[in-house]
Amino acid sequence: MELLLQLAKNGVIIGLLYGLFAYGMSLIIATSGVLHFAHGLTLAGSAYSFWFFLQDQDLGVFVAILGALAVGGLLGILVELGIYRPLRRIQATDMVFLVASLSVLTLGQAALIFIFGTDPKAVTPTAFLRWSTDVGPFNVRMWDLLIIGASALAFTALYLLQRHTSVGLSFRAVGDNPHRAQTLGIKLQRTYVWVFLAGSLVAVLPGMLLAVQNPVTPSMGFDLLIKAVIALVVGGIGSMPGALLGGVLIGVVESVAVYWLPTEWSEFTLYALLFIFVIARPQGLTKGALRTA
Amino acid sequence: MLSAGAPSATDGGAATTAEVLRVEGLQAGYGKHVVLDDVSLTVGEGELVALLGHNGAGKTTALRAITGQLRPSRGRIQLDGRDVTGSSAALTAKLGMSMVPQGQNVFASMTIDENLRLAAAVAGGRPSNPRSAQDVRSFVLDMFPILKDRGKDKAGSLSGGQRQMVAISMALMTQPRLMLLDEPSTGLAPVLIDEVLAAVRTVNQQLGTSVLLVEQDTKRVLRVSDRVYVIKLGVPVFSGTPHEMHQQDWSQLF
Amino acid sequence: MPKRTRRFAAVAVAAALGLTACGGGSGSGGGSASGGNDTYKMGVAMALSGANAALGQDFVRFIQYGVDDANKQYASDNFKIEMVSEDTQATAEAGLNALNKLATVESVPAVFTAWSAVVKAMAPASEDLGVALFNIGANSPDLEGAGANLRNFFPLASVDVRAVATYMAKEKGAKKAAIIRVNNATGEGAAKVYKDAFEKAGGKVVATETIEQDAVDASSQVAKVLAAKPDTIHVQTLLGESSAVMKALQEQGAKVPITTYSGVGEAVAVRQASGDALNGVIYTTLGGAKVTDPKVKELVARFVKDQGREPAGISYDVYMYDSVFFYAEIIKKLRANGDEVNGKNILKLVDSQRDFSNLPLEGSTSFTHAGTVIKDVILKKIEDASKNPGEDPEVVTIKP
Repeated sequence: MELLLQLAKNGVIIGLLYGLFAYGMSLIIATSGVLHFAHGLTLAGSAYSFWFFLQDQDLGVFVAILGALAVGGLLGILVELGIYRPLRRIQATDMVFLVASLSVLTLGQAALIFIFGTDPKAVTPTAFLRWSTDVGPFNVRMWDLLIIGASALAFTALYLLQRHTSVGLSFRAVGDNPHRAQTLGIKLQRTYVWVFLAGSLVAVLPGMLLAVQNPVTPSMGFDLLIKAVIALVVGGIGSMPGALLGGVLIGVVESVAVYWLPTEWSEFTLYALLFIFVIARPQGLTKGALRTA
Repeated sequence: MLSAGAPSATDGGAATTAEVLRVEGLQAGYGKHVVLDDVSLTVGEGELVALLGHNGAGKTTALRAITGQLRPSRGRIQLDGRDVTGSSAALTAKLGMSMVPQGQNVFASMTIDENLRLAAAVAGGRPSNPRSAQDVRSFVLDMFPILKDRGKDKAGSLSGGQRQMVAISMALMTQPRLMLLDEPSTGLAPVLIDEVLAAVRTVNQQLGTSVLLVEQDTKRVLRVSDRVYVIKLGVPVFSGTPHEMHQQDWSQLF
Repeated sequence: MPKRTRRFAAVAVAAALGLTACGGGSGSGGGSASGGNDTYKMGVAMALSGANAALGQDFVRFIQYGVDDANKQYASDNFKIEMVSEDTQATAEAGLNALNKLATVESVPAVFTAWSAVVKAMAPASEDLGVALFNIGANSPDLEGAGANLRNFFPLASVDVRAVATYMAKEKGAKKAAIIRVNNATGEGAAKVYKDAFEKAGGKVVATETIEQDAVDASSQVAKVLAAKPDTIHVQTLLGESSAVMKALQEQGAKVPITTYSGVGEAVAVRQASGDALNGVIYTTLGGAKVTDPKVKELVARFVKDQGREPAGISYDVYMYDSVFFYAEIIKKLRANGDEVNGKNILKLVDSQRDFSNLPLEGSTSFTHAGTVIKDVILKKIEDASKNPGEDPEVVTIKP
């Protein structure tokens, strides 16, 4: 029983990490209609930047966080301006967007290998990061607390942004009805840039959190992308709470299923879950509000 | 306030009151297909002007060309004396044109309250706005109390008539110099059409907002308009007051 | 050996950067046994594009060093070796294409390659094509006996895994062992070797849990392993996921001895990311040339001078360099015997001689009857992960 509780806790934590990553993707798809696979590159790029500023250049954690945010945000904006905007101008189909996005991801991975090499890069954990304690049946790590904190921060910030600021309201308006938004005087292109910036900044959080826990690898974005896409489908594509919910659900399933099943089945359970949702509940847990681009 | 003896659509004569909108020799279409040709019209300060015509007469095309959603192939459009021909939709909106499109004209997944706040935010900070956002908001909510009662509901849950009220309110929240309405009666029951048109007239009279109203329902529109233009197959065929319109042989106009 | 076959191969860009993607060049045929100054082709199939290109391109560079130096050393024997390289992208499909081209178009008598998946795919085909196949950089235990024409010049993981399993059971009195392994063929093969050896020595493997490559969290695996209450835990993972395993072991208070292998214990990234979670861990290394060896240092310095950076995988590069001298020695013997230098004769010579003592870096190597090499296994203990692996003290040297 104690083991099961521990597994469930681990599942929630890792699920929040998946959810954080999916959250940014969800924000972007809800507003722009683009299934932004290159989000994986944003994650890997910001993780490498964090490592670079902190470990390689030894500039301190504050600079490293700012540097990672800057690189992550810039990557998102560059992909929007350099890839998606021209595609939108020629009225490319969703399939073209998808292929373009995947290409950016793989080319980006190749670029990361070119710049940093294939060997993993690691951040030396400080005493602060290594702290952990037992609370009841749970072993609680500093990393767990950081993930919970980052999730709370991102979810609260985006919730407030989307309900109480004009830029956040315009995200939702453009996602809902771009034509009406335009007649109201909202600049679509500008809104897309803002939403790619906001969504990418959210991806920097899991990027940095991963960098302090595990070595940074060029393929890390792709690994997490698969989990995030499952989380989006399970949660309801285009739904913000759904991304979080889907992330936590797959984290818990992946972690808890191995209580009964051999550990090599943990990824299998995710695909089984995805399959069940695609067949039985394609709209996801919460009803996704996806529009086509 | 009413501009009696306003210029006809074709003579281009000076209006006795300040003109908010002036359109001269407008030609527009899609590709090589000309939908609208040589249309001229004006809307004076505080006027409610109707643009009438059959389905396919080119009314919506005219609105799209005026608001910058469609680039006109010929002609000139002035807003408050400033040439806005070929300007983007975002620019014309910024300068004070607010169009209420036909059909899906509210953000269905957002609450009524959020729809209104967004509209106010988009136009926020325009120095020419004579009223505070709060004032306009009170006015709108007084006029359409249902929007206050159901402020937390999703706009998508509203009936067709209520949605029109939200859409008009959104346009008003931007404090436009000119509100352009594209067939607000579409899909509404007759009693609701009267209600919506009455609301437009109220806005026009109480806030002094200039209105260009595109409609098919000629009889009802004549009751609320100051002046009317009629276009047929993209060409202007009549301009004048509702009184003058009643003296016409309508079978020639439509 | 890092394997990223699951990943999208980012082929295009890396290929553009490839320096030696196209082998070829001139040279005489493969197998003349007559006197005079003959040239023998050495077929080399490595990942020259894709995610593993950084490693593969360095492999080829060290083989080229070997060719340059061996040709000087064997100049008096009147023959020369010429390297012909092809790209395997570290995948089975591209590997087979590379092998076919080397065997049929280039007519090489022997192909030298790496990456477990590639070697495994090439093994049966090399038999059909009649070329000798030498694994000089893959360590998956199931490469033992994978094909009649395959000889493993590179020590397989089974050598050290078997040694550490036996040592923990016999010398340390461990009765119950648990394994955490990466979910791929290499991990599976190593876990099987460990289990066989540990149970043969009288112990029992009570739990085997797997983790995905580059997984970010291992706490479930560790929790399950600890629940089985083992006396020792063996970790057979790759780079990305290793620190997650080590951290989870520390966080969940694992008190029993933890063993792993050099790929984890000596990896700088794992040592950095794991921090003190790695302290106390015992890992295996193989006897033979070390990074601290003056000859290896000299070779690395030469590489740094040429490339302006450190080589990507020096523990492999040593075998790359030595393999050329191994090949040269075979050619010399065959010529002395008046035999043609072809696949069949090469294999026959390796199997009859078995001990080769002309390797500049490793010194000597010995083949078993199963076509694998034997090495001393040295267990080392990490006392301070923040220090250089060279400073880890030795626990014991296990003779084969």
